[in-house]
Amino acid sequence: MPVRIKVKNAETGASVEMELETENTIDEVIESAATFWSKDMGAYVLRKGKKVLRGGHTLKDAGVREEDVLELIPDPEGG
Amino acid sequence: MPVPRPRIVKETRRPVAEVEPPSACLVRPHEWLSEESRSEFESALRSGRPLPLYISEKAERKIREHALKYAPRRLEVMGFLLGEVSSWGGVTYAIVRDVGTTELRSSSSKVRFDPEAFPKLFHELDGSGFDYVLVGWYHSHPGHTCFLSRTDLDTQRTMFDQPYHSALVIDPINRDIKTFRLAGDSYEEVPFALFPSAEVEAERRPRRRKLKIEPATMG
Repeated sequence: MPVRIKVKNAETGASVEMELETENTIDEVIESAATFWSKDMGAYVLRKGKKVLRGGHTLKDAGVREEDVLELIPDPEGG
Repeated sequence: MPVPRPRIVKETRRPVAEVEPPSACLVRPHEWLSEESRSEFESALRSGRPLPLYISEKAERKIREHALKYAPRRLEVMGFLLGEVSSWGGVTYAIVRDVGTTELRSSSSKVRFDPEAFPKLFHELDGSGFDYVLVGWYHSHPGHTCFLSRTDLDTQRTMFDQPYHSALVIDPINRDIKTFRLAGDSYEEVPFALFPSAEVEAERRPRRRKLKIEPATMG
């Protein structure tokens, strides 16, 4: 059954509404959002509240529901 | 049957508010600026145009104390610059109101967030109490002076590639601090000013004039 969620881009404040299945994985969500914003998906984590969503999990396993707001957070490296 | 790929149906961009930057009589240069950087700061202030970046004294104190805490062990520190993007007189500038960080995996030449400590980072982001934009990131170069290494530049290009995104580098051993932005294939130093948090926060609220809304585009 399709659900609609919102994914925020922490670097710009922009957000996208995404339509997807509860069997889609978190990696697919990150990939879709990262591709849309021309970003490297490997450089980001996705959060729901205080929790990092693990890439291989499905939305259902991760407890993501209709109208949830997730946030794409960069995972930088300094040297 | 394969699961269909996620489909993006709408993008909403954050409006850039037309807000006057902190006034020249309230801002000041950082005490650790080099002579050259201080000269750039004074020149930028004299121009009457908004500086590229304004950092609250509260955020600056947190960055400096974070860097100094780990300086004796020569460990790098890192965090996000939380703020907002505004425009005044056709010039876009960024305000840093707070910072967010967590436990790190760091050495004298590398730093990352500890993957197990993201919940603490998210707690800090939520605890900032405003609808932040990550207007950049900070990290320290304990004893190495302030510049962007190849790793830093990769991070800037990959994650902080908007014109308002800054990289703040602080050297707590040599007492130096600089802010940088991307410039073509490389990067350049940009001047920044410190502002007293309470006074400016109070001053900015009633001076909001209008919103410049950018149209959303798909793809």
